[in-house]
Amino acid sequence: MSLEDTIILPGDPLPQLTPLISPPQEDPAIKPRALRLGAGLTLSPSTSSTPILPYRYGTLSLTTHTKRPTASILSTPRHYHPTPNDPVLVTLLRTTAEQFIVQLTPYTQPAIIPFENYIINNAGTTASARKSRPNLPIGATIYARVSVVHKHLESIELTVPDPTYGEVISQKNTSTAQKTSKSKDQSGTIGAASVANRAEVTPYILSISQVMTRLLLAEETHGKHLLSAVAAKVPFEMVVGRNGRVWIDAATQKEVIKVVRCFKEFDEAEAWNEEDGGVIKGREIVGRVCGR
Amino acid sequence: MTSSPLTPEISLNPLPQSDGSCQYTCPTSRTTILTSVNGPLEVRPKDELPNHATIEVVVKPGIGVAGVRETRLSSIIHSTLQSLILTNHHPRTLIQIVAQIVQAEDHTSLPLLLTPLINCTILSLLIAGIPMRTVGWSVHLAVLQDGKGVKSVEGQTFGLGGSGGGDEMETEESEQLVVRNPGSDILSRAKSSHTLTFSKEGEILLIESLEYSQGSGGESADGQGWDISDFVKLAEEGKRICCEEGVEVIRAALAERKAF
Repeated sequence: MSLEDTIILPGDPLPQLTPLISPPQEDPAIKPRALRLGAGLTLSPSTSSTPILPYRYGTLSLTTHTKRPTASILSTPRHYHPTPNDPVLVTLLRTTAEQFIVQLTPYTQPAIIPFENYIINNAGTTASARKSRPNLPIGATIYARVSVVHKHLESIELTVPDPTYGEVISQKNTSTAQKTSKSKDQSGTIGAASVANRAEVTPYILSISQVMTRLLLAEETHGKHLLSAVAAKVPFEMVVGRNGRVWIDAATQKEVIKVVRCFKEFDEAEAWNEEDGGVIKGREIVGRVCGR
Repeated sequence: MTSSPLTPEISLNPLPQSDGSCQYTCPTSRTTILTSVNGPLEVRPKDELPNHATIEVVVKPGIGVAGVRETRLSSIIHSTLQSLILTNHHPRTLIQIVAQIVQAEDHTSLPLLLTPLINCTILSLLIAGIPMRTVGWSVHLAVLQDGKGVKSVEGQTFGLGGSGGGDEMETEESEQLVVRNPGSDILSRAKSSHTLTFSKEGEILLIESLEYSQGSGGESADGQGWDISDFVKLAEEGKRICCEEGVEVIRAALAERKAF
């Protein structure tokens, strides 16, 4: 069994880390480097071989070739544990005098986006001034980044670092809105009918598991077979938040639901656990949902 | 891993909406438990602890409404898990554990339910990614005065004679027989019953021992129905079962899941 395949249980000794913590002293060229502990590892003086304690089950992942070696436990529980720099999709709960109060995951403390962290244009203007503040309706979906996480802090702080983040609005909706105003002059064209239909399309926010989120974010590796299989049938747009939410938009409502069902069924079947990584299962689901 | 008749049936994440869930069927007594773990969640202000997560254990009975028995079970599970979960990782939050008894031979018997409940809860905590110091495993051992007419699976019984590994059914007349994870028919003949929980490192987390006067035993120096030297031997065997076989079961169950 290779290092990557061995399951590590909480409390397991990690002899693999010993050479990283105290490197052999024979070679003076090797400078001792600080080992960074990633997710799933904590310091504990009482463990037997190394003072590092794994507290979640998973596989050990080691990055030693970089300047700062990192060790972490790879595991994907369903619950989202926020870490800084995660892109997330949040729902606006209410606005106070200084911040947006948003929901990151259900049944947890709400997170906040302070107005000075909300950047609205490329010039770096923040939403602190009343004039520049975007007028977001309650329930709006905001694409943001996690900035401060601390267990003793009242709530998690998010930022909207540049205009590519912010409220998620259907790009097609906005472009067709312009078209609608244009088509008022040339009434009775075929375009008007499709535009009218377009206005009825509501994007869908799908809740998925953490593994599925990773899968969709890794579109070139793990998620490629599923995404390309779906995209071959239905063209769609999506925004993936690490907190297990995916915003899906397509040309018609039917297509939105088709994409949603493909992802949802793949997730519920936990198809990535299969031997081929769910390639066949993914194709089967897409074939069933979208037709052959 | 080859599945032996003593390997429990485990199905991970049967509940799609919970953070971690597990269904566990005891191989011999066929007690089936379904547990769900959610957390860390927002805690009620009344239960909030400034430096620790609050652990809530709810046991739902298979028949009828929850009563004193379920409260007792949940308090035992709570105190066992308290030493396993690193509650300081998520202060001011709630870790909610709900255990449903799905099937049991005897819904009124605490020792029959306790071991499956603990094992199932520990597996769902692992799946939910709750920070844990180590993992534990529980085993239920019943001591019988004699092994006459006891129907058991191979490897389920052993004697306390000292030679160990008394798998054969023809044990000596005088020798006491220990049955692992017994069903209600065997338990009704038992002299004493012991639920033991050990951590992976061999620390003892829980001892729940009961004496049965209706069994053929009941005579011992301390009047407790079991001899302390017998108990030490029994605990030694229990430790072996938990630390070797139990941990192996957990590893095998989790090994099939991929991590990204």
